[in-house]
Amino acid sequence: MRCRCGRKAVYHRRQSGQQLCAICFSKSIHSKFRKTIRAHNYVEKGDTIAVGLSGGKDSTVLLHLLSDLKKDRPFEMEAIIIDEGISTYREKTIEVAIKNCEILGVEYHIYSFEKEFGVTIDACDSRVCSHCSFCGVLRRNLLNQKARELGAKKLAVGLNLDDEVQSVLMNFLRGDLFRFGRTGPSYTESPYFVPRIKPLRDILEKEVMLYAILSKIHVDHSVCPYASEAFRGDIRDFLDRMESKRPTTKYSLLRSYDRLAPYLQEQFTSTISLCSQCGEPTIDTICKTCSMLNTIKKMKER
Amino acid sequence: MKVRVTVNGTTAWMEGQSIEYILEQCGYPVESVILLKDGSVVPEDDVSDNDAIELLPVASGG
Repeated sequence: MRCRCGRKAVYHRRQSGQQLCAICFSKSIHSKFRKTIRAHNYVEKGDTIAVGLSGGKDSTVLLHLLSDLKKDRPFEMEAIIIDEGISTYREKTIEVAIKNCEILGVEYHIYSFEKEFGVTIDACDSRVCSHCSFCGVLRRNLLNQKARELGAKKLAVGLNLDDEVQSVLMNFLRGDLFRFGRTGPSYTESPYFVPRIKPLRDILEKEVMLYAILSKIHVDHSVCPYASEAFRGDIRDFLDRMESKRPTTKYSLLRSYDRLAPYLQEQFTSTISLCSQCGEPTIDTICKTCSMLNTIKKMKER
Repeated sequence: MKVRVTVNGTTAWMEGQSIEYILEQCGYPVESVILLKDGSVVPEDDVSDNDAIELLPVASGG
């Protein structure tokens, strides 16, 4: 099979029927990325952007694409690396994250759950909640807090199209309509939350990985040892099967959701206050992070 | 068609009417995996009878 430019195709984009060579494929990823940036006004002149970096394919590709964008428009960028305390897994990915920052000349900051919260994911008691829920709550808290402290105007995260549609379905199936309304391209809740931007939200996970391979970007492909616990895995399998049978399923789901999101955000709003324990933003008296940490502390004391 | 498939270090001969069917039998719908032939990325349509391919599952991270 040949790309329309005449070179040998390496990828069949089933959603559009295109056969693409490595060069045309990479160009198409840059184009999708920049289109998303423009559509949501994600990067403005003079912005300071904190990038949540794990060393996995998504956040590393995001770092490289933002670095490339920086050649054309002036903005500052720093990386935040979180060590959740997952032995035999996170050490390797942090090493990869640091290496990429050094290659691109991006300043990075490493924060650990152990130092900031006094816990690690490995030591988390799964009777309190799943490792994934615990990790997600603490990581979001720490990323927001550190991005704010670094003076970042935006927090860029490597969520791709698959991540987005998985979250949409998960929140819908759980009946969590409040969170369902907050999965959109942008959400401004309170000045205490650094606005999150998702420049990869229009790119399939498969294409993010292919871009990393074809661009010879050093990424870590390992799977978190706790990933099999996640509800997300079941949703991922379902969506992959649907997409394989009916290409564009994921795009259609995201587009439908994006049209609904403004109405959902209007309907399901809440007042943001500050956690009475740690001072971070929350919709309750005590934030979810403190609530989880309190439960863990109580269980340890028993 | 018959294809020699390697995934996560394990190799086996797999048979089926199409590459999509073989991938599905391996537990990977076509949209969840990248194919390598002779170490290079190839589209599914480039896999022929008796080829040796390696599967790179897309899912990684947390």
